This record gives sequence, C-alpha cells and structure tokens, in this order.
Amino acid sequence: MWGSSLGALLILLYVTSPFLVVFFLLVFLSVRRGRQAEKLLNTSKKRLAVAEVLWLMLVASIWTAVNVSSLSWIPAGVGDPALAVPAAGEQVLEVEAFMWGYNLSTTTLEAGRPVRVVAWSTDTLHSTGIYSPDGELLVTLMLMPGMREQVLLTLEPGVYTLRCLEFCGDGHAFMSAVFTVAGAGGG
Amino acid sequence: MAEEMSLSSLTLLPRLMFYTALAWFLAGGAAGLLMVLFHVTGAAAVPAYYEALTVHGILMTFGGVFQLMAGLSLLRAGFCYGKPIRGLLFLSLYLLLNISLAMLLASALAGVRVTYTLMFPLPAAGAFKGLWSIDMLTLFVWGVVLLLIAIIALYPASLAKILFFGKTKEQLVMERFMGTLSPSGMASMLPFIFVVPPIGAPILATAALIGAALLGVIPLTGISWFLEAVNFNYLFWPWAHNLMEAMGIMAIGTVYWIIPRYTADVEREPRLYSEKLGIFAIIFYTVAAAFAFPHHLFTMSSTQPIGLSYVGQLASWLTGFGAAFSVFNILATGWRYGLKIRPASLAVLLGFSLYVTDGFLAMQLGTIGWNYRLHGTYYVTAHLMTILIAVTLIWIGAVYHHFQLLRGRGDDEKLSYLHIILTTVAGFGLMYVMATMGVGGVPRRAYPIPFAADIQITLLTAFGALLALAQAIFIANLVRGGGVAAR
Repeated sequence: MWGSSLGALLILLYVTSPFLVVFFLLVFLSVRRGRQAEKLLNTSKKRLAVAEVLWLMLVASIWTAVNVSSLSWIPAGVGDPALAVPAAGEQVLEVEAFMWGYNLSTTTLEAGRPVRVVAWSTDTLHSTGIYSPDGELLVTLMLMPGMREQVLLTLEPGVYTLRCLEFCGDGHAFMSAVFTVAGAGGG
Repeated sequence: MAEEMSLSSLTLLPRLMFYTALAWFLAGGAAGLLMVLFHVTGAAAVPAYYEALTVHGILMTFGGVFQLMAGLSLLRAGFCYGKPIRGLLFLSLYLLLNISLAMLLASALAGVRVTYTLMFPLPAAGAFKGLWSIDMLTLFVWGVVLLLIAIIALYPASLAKILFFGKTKEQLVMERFMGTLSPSGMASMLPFIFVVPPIGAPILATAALIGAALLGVIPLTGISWFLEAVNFNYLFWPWAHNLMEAMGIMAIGTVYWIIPRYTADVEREPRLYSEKLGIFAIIFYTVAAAFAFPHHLFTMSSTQPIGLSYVGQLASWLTGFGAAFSVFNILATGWRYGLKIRPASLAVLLGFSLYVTDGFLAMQLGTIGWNYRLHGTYYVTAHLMTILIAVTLIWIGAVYHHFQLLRGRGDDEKLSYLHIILTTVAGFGLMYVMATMGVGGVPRRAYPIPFAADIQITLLTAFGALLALAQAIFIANLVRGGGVAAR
C-alpha cells in the first residue's frame, strides 16, 4: 500500500501537512514573542537544545522508516541477480521502442505465468510505463539507446497499456501500445 | 559624487541582471501560460506546444531563476566584501549568458523542440528524422556551450573574484562580514565556486566537441564515444543535478542571511541561532547532494549497477538532513530573537516552507520503490516546478530586502504582501495538483494529455493564472513603488 503511487501521495500529505501547520504556528508565535522583549530575554537555551535533539530524532525516525520500508516496495524482479536466469514457465514480451511507437513480440500473454518484459530503444531516450487494466502505473523502465532493460512481472488477466514517459519529440503523447493477459480460460 | 559612482559600480550590473531576468521571466511565463491554454482548448498543433515547452523551460530556468540568483548573489557578495562588480569578467558573464539564451530561444522557435533538459540523444535523433535542421541544431548546441561557459566558468569565477581577490573598498561595505564564512549565508556560495566547475567541465568539453563536429572542424567519428547516449548522460546528469542543488544551497544561504536581519532584537548583531549549525548544514547538504545523482539510474536497473542506485537513494535522503538542520536553525532564530514580518522576511519564510515541503516530495522521487511508479509522471513536474518557484520566492525576498537599492525607492508593502501570498498559494496549489496527476500516472511533457484530466487541468489553469496575477502585481509594485521612504 505505502509503496504504491497512492501511498506516496498519502505519505506526502501526512508528512507535509503537520510540518506546515507547526512551521507556521512557530513563525506566528515567534512574531508574537518579538513584541514581548521579556520573553526573549527569558528564552531557555537548554529547552531549545532539547527541541533540536527531538526534532532531529523525529527526522531520523522518518528517514529510517521510509528507507527500510522502501526496500520492500521495489518491484519484484528489479535489480535481482536471479533475473538473469529464466524463471520456470516464464513468457517473454519483447518491446522495441521507437519514435513514436512500440513493436511488441506478442500482444497476448497467459495469466499465471511470469512475464519477462525485455525492452529497448532504437533511436532516442524513451521509456515504457506499464499500466494495469485499471490504469495504475505498475512499473516504468527507462530505455537508453544501446541498453536492454528487463523486469519480471506476474500479471492478472486484463488489458495492459504501455506508454512512453520520457519526452521523445512530437509524438511522445501518442506513443502507446496494448497487450492482453488472458485468463486460464482464455478470457 | 565619488561615493555615488562607487555605489553604481556595485549595483549597476546586478540591477541589469535583475531587470533582464524579469524580462526572461515574462517571456517564459507567457510561454507557460500558452501551454496551459493549449491544454484547456486543445487547439494548438503538437509542435507549437513543444516549442512553448522548450522556450518556457529554458527562459524560466536560466534566463529567469539563474540570472536572478546570479545578480542578487553578486550584489550581496559585493556589498559584504566591499568589492565593485564591474570589469570584463562580470560583463562577459552577463553578455554570454544572455547571448546564449537568445541563441537557444531562436533555435527553439525554429523548431528544436527538446525541452531544456536536452533529453540526449533527442537533439541528434530529431535532426536525423528531419524534425529540425542541422543548422538550427548547430545554433542550439553552441547556445548550450555558451550557456555552460557562463554557468560553469564565468559565474563561479565572478563569485571567487569577489570573495577571494582584490581589496575591500570601505565605502562599498554595506553589511560587514565577520570572518571567512560569516554571515553563514556566504558559505552557500562556495559550492558554486568549488563543486559546479569540476563537475561541469566534462559536459562543457563534450558540448564544445559536438559543436565543433557540427561545424565540421573535427570529424563526428572522432567523438563517437561522447555521442553514445549512456556516456553523454553519465556526464550530463551529475552536472545538471549538482547545478540545481547548488542553486538550492544558494537559496538556503539567502534564508540564513535574510532572517537574522528581521529579528525583533535589533540591538544584537544579526546572527543565526547557530552559525556553526548553519555552516555544517551547508557542508552536509553539499556533500550529500554530490552523491545523489544516481537517482537518474533507478529505472535502468538491468543495465546499471544497482549499488549506485542505493547510493543515490541514501544520498538523496541525506540531503533531507541538511534541510532539517536548516529548518531548526531558522525556527530557533525566530523563537530566540523574535521575528519581524516584512515583505522580505515573509517571502523568505514562505519560500523556505515551500522549499522544504517540495524537498520531501523530491526525496520520495529519490526512493527506488516509489520512483518505479512515479518516474516520468507529473510527480516529477511537481518537484521541478515547485523547487524553482520556491528558490525564486526566496530570492524575491532578497529583492524586497534590496528594493531601495534596486529601484531607488521603497515598495508598496500592501502590493508586496499580496504578491508574496498569492505566489505562495499558487506554488503550493500547483505542487499538490501536479502530484495528484503524477499518482494518476499522467505522463509529463505529454500533449495532448492521454488521460481524462479535466479537473486537474482546470485547477492547474486556476493556480497558473493566480501565479501570473501575482507577478503582474509585482511588476506594478516595481513600476509604481511606495515612494521614497525607506523602511
């Protein structure tokens, strides 16, 4: 959940909203304190030092929580040395990207078997974002000319869309393709 | 009379850069509004949209934001160190920067539609495909070369000349500096002097070689290594990333400089709550940022070392610690000494809040797991737009601080507050709307947007119009001002 794109937005809101409230509250209070000289004279340096430690501990906690949790958010099959070895029963979807379209080795795949997506570009920088049948961006691969990127996915039945996410010229917005993952019954 | 001339020797070029930046902001902003209009009406031909996109990016980022920063930072360094800002070096910086922008603008309008981030090897691929001519590509590449010379060599050299060379002229010292790195804002100039040139030199040499090959001076086959997309981008990404970080650090330095000058305790010397923490934050931020560029490699994990990606993620998140130190230092300065809200301090505080908020969004993009689901979407646009608006707002604070110096009279405070608040609301609005679009998987730089996004486009239009209105108020303030009374 938290590793999804929606999770990213929720965490953005959960972190930045309280930050902004506290930030502006402290600015407001600092302006008020500025009008009361005796309060400034009585400022406790010790309390500020404690606040500094607490603040840095909070930041460190968020830092640690996100960085540790994020290890499990990396899509399966990404950066995995085992990717070099074909998975049992895997299917291969070859994606050739060009200005401005994709050539697919097949447009129909079977559900229940791992799909190895192998993608490359023939001309300029492209990418291939793979969108689920309900429109969620599952994974994106940047395609640098001369490089072949791959990812191993397990896909549910439905119609998937490939879309370029790196600006590649006038036809960028139109650069897409679809493939179907058919269920065991063929549908 | 002599003193008056001396003052003009300090302010003339920064003022020129400030006004030129405004002109580029206006032109780039108009291109941005056109893009929004195209999205709303769907009336534009695709090439027209991408020309507007390229013009918008180039002019806002380099003509506007960079030039504004350069002019104001030179002014600040000049009056802290008591050095005039005149001579061949400073003039070359100004001329080369703006000549290069004119060349880039001309080539973009002639069809070189590659965005301000180049997207290498798109410039070459487009020429081979006949989308733009080799002549215009040559003009574009040489525009890039001159721009790089201005940013990588002349600007850092100008800063270094003021900070490290020449004698102080007492009549030019308007804010005394205390020690090598005090006020600690001055430390923020060091990354531009010591980090940007060495990281930028390889990409400058590469661009010059490509330019020479396009002119036929050297054979293209002789530079084939540099034309490999992966080689070029390994040189380009560290530079582009560290340039943006250096601009961000310069903005943090401006916060460190402005806020202590707007505290309620007027008796004391303007200082941060902790000068040491300020300097430590800048060093920490600079070092962490230098290692953060591999976040460009996240979605190429089959071909690039995954270890580099982890370094990129950790370094990206470590820059957050630099920001956390700064947040505490600024808020503690306000708490310890009291704050006075004036246009300068308000712009800096609001710009800083936007900067930090966007910083978290940037760290999300610097997280491998999230990056796989957000890279290339409007989430990235949200970061890029917001960071540029945030640092600009911080430097607008410096403009309000210097209003008398830049305009020869005071500002109209009501207009100033209105400008700052509307800009902030528009900045936050654009960021959250674009982030929402990114989560929906909407590809950035896509026209027409291949998704149903009517509500988001309407909101973008509204916040874009608000941003434009705010800047119109700023222009009115500059033209009209608030009379001669100094604050």
